[in-house]
Amino acid sequence: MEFAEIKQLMREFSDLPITKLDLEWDKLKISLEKQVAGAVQTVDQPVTCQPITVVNQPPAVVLSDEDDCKARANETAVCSPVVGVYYSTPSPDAAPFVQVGQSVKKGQTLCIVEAMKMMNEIPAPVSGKITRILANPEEAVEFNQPLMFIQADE
Amino acid sequence: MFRKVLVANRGEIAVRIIRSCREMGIETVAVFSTPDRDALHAQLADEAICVGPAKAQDSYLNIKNILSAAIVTGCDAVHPGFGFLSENPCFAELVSKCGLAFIGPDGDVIRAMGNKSEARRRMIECGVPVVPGSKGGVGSVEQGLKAAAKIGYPVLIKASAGGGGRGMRKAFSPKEFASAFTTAKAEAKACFGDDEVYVEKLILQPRHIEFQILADNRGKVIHLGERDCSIQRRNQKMIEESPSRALNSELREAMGAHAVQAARAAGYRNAGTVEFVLDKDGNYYFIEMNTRIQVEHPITEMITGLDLVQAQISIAYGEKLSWQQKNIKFSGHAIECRINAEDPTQGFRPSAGRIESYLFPGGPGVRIDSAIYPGYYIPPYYDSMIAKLIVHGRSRREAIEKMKMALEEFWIEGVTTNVSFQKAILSNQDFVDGKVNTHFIENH
Repeated sequence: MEFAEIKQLMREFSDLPITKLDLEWDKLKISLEKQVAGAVQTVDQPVTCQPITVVNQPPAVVLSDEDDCKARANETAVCSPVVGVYYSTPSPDAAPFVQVGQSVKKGQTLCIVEAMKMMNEIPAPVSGKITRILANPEEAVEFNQPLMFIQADE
Repeated sequence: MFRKVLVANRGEIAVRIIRSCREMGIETVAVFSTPDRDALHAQLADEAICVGPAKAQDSYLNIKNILSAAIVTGCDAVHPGFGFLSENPCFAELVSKCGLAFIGPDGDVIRAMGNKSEARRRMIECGVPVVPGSKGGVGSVEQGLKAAAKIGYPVLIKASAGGGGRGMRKAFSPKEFASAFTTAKAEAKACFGDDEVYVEKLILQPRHIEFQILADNRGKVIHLGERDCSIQRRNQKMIEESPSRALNSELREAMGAHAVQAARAAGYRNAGTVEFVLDKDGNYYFIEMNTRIQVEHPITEMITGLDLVQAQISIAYGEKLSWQQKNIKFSGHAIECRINAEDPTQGFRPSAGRIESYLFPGGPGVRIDSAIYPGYYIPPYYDSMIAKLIVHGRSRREAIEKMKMALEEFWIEGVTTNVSFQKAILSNQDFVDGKVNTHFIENH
């Protein structure tokens, strides 16, 4: 199992309403556990998955679920115009440019994609509210990769 | 050895390079344009990065995004394939500047050999025979007429920055010269952004003979024999074969030695090709040097038993050439037919579309280099070549028969191809008798 796949597994585990996951795959055993406020669900038996036959090796750039990457109704995607590294903050210690739920104006800087030491500031294509942020800080992104979504103002 | 290589190309050559890397235990990174997301090269590579939209200029020629992709994925080298950025000296230099190895010659060698009139000048300087022609670029019609008078008609007006058979015009007399000159300049400007042209003697009934050379980083240069690429349509190669019927062993030795000398004079490293024209009297002249791996490299591989892409990677890593010229042996005869998605009955118009299903030929001595798969949609943005069919036989006759049978077996549904046209050439008596030159297709 590639490290990128493990990262993706952890990300999805944290999104799903299960609190414990034991996975055996080839010679690898992974055990994930988390606390969830409210109803606590327990899984009695460890879940063993069939080894996944991966026809395509996952790309270095880890995209979330197919659905996540597509804009939902009323959403405008903000896509990376270059290949590079995504940064959510203007500098290492600063606050992020934007957060989910925040209102932004067209042209406002949403994030940075750094390509070979050049910082490309990514502007908002429309005015509206940030609905989802897909990209993770310091993650490699490719051309046209959706970084976040905006629900445009009427 | 390199740990990870980025393949800056697409289609069958990208697949070819990825395969060699895998055999050498090297991880691969593919780059693709948005319509190529499902292309075979992007699927076969260990990692794949989208570098731009459909237009080649914004994706496969997007130096910034390609370099960035190589850096973010932690590659140690870049293989440029052929076409696209493979002969872009700035790209080669930038790859090095970023601390990565460029699998090919240095940027300044690419730059020097990329200027056709400069390349000619160097060859003249070191005694490699060149087509009689103007010393350098020719600025005006008047200068051109003077040069042409000295050379003797007919002449060929060629773009200095040219390649791929474009930016060339013939003139059979002083009357035709002026308009041929202006048209060549205009086409040169449009295709290559540089309208400098030079004038050469037009060799009548020429054969296009090119020599494969390999040079390591320690100055050792060898040649791997010739390829006869005389079957061309509008200066685009259709069929290539090795060895050439027109060469006996003395001629091969002489031309091979000059090819090696040309590569040395250029300060060449890695794999390259020295092109000559051979006239009907057995005189040969240097035309240009191609500073990249070529489409037709498989036929050299078939007769020598060597893997040229692996050799490129080893040389770029710094390994010395393990073969001596005297150990290079040529065995049998190889032919390659380029299979294009085009309609010969409609002026060879490209035929884009979805490949519904296909059947490739096989058996001993039959090789296919291709990037298609059932259900693959051929994008209309790039060249129309969909496969290379290569055969090897113990003799030229056997190779021709094998190719004819392989073309019979070749079946593809969903797009029109030039297979029937290729079959017709292979069955033509003049071809079988070896009576070929670059006018073959127009004359038949």
